[in-house]
Amino acid sequence: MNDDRIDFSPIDPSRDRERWKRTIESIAARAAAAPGAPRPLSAQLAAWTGPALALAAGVALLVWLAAPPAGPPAPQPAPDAPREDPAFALQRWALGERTRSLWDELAKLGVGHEQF
Amino acid sequence: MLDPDATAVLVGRAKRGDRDAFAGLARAYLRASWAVALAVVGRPADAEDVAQDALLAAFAKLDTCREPRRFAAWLLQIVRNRARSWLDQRRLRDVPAVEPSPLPDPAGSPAVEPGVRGRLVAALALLTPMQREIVLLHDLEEWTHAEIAGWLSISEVMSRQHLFQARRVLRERLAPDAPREDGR
Repeated sequence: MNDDRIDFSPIDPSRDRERWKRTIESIAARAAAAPGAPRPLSAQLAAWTGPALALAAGVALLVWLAAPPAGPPAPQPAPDAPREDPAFALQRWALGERTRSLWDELAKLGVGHEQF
Repeated sequence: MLDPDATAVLVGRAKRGDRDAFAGLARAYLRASWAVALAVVGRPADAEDVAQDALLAAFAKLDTCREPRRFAAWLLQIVRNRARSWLDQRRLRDVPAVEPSPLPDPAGSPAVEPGVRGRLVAALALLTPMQREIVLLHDLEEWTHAEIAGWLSISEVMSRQHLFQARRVLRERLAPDAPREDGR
């Protein structure tokens, strides 16, 4: 039967092999790049990386802008006026530095006569 | 032509966007698409444009191909539709400014090309679209009658009859002593 075939090679577009190959590659590239065309998982992940990072950066910026401004620092006790420990004050009085009476020392510590 | 199972695998990969699968399908079916397009539009260069356009259109809606093993039939129907649409547009575009020729023009004014190529194109224009499609798919694309019958939804007997008649007309036209287009 092969001898009966009509020879269509003069109009065969694939006769120019290089051109035919380029045509096929062009079709494949256009099909893969067409809008709405499904893309491989790796390509989808790569495509989402940029927008995902941009979104995360945007959210971080919004959170930072929406946070209340930091208030003034809490007042710290003056380093040159430390509050005296009551036990230490009584110890100091008992050891002989009795420049004031015991009642004065207790009054200094906030203890009045009426509590006795 | 790829066997149906291999075709279905490629279609599945192409649906996931695999560029190599698109290339594989184009490699397997572009020339068949060109043959079917040529059967309708009549001009080899135009058929190339239509075949590429149809293949891209088919790839773009690959999800609607419900039977990947029958991708060839699905694709060739898209090619046929695109080619007819293209031919309609060409007829509207190429409205003759003078009286049309009284000669029948079954392939829609195939361009006169020089040499063997031109004689072949002119001879093909004498066939019906179905005859052109079958003789091209069988003698150029080397499809069997069973494959042609399956993809074109006709019987094998009908495919053989169309091929026989097409070859007879073409041989008469392409014989060395047959009259030429240029009258020589």
